[in-house]
Amino acid sequence: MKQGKVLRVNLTSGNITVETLSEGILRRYYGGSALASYFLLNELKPGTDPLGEDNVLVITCSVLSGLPIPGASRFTIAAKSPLTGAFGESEAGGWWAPEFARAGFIAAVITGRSPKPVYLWVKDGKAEIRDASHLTGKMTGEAEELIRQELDDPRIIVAQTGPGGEKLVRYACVLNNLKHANGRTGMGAVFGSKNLRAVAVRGTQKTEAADEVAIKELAQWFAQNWKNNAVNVRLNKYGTAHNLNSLQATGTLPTFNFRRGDFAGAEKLCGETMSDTILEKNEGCFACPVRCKRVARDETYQVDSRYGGPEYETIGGFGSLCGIDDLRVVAKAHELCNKYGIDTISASVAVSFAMECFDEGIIDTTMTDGLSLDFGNAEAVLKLVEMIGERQGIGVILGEGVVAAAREFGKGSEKFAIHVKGQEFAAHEPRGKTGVALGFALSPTGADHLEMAHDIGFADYTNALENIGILGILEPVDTMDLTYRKLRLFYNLQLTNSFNNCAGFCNLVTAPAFTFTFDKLVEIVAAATGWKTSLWEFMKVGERANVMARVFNTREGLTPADDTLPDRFFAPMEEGPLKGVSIDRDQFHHLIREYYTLSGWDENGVPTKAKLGELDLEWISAG
Amino acid sequence: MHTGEGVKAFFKNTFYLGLPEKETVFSFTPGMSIRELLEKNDICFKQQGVAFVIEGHLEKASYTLKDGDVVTVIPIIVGG
Repeated sequence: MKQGKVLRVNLTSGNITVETLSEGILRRYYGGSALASYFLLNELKPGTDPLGEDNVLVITCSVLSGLPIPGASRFTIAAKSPLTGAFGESEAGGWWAPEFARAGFIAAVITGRSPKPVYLWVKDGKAEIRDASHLTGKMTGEAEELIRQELDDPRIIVAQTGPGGEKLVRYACVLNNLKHANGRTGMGAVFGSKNLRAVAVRGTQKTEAADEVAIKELAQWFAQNWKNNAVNVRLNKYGTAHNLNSLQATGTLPTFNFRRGDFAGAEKLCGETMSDTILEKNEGCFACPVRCKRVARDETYQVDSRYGGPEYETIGGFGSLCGIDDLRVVAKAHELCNKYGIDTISASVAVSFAMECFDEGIIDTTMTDGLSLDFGNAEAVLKLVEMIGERQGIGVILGEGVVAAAREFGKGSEKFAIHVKGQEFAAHEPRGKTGVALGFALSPTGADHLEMAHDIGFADYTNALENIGILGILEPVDTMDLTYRKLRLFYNLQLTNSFNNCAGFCNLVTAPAFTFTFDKLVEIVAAATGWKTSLWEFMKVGERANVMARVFNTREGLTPADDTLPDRFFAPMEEGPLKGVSIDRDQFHHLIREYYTLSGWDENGVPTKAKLGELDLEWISAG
Repeated sequence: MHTGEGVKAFFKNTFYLGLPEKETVFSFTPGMSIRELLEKNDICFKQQGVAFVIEGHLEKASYTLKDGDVVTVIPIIVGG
């Protein structure tokens, strides 16, 4: 029988206990986002201060963690978000989850606040709270080194925030191995608020599968087949920035704080250029041969390769969004963010927001320590990142997120604050893909680019479309469609992506577009758990996670008014291939309301009792 | 591979498509679609995860080619 051990840590009292989750709980929630929501809805009171002692910090792996399955290395950190005041959740790959699983745990629930800086040390079924006073103010690289030295084991995997989290930058993140980020919604700030610098883990226990032979065969199948998937091959060769030229060609490369969707310097930023210039090597996550992670180095800007290299989101953010056409500068901004432990996406949007405010005359050099925040000013970008990480000067304001910064700047600057629910946009232009627009608007965490697989993959008879025939979607859907065809596509793909966040699967090796088909995912879970499962069950798990997050937000006072986009996206694009294109506001909001109906939510976007009952969630109250 | 007068196609970033990295010029019969052109040249594009952009607009493989079209082949994007 499948069981999962949960580590419970009260940082106020120092009390540590271990509890066991039943197979019934594991099967309902699998792990990740759904399991985290289960704990949060049970244990976190609505109205709690996200940076207060009473916030509950949950770290969840899944029933697959630790097994040598490519793409199954992801885990979730969740809490009430200090950035949005709503459901906070972020996933990361890398090496932490399998190590935590081999240490014997599926989850950690961390409550209270330590009176002094500490880190949590977890090894083979045991945990200990250790003093971290000597780590305070240290960059993440040095802190990781010190932890490994004092525990005398270089194989320890450290998930930590950095000085940015200690200083409560609202979008501080958590990094494992210095380069795999639980980037979004400010989970690093929650670490900081609890005086928790890191969770260091080492596990030597074997993670067992119901059918070890089948797991081995599935891993071998992937190894033999992933090179038949062209986009997985591109990810291997060029990283996630392989798509940059595609975005440029379709006018959806966010540029100058989303003023336009094409950038003259795009060619200098793409994955191909990175391979030819600053790329030192590529790396991967546990058990995955695709190895899409980039490791960058540069002498001019002294880019430290220990911190990896920029993903597409970071390149779009610190590149075209800020008007920078130099990958070396982007790589340095990435390195600084990882040193300070701050989210590259929110940080880059905060910087581009400040640049637009500067361009519009809303702020001037008297507010920027003399920095001229012109789009394209590399020195200004790097200095602003440091100021955010150090919480100095204008960095204090920008470290609060663009909503708070716009309140501070005033003068109409709110229209340049590109966010949903308080979370800054990832580098994707909704005016070229309405499914992404729906995802941004409806995600419980704010603008999340991974809410569904993006529209372009389904706009023609592609392999990705072929793979969702199993969901009843048989014809292409135009990228700008805003009818029930798009709603059906979005709804179904949102559930499959949500399931990935519960099972710890990576969206970049799984269906609909990548090597592992839905059938293979079913085989994996069956082999791992012994459960007779199906894609239908997966989608119900994904729906359960979405509904629980929605209930969380309803309890916190969010309403349908929060399910929208900034005004900029309802206005025509001014330049580029999408010149004149906008999202029809009325059609968009009609589709949002229809999404509620389709989801079994009422007109206020609240899941009905019947829906809660259908998902076996009667135990929570949406009211 | 057929080359000659007619449709110009810039196959950027398409090492997996079995085409040169840079510009390839195809000849075609009037009324031919992108799909027909590629299949005529034994290029199995469907499983390659590509899309087509002409003059900044995303076009389907069923698009009927016109003389002088510049077709940019891009990998499909499903997330960042």
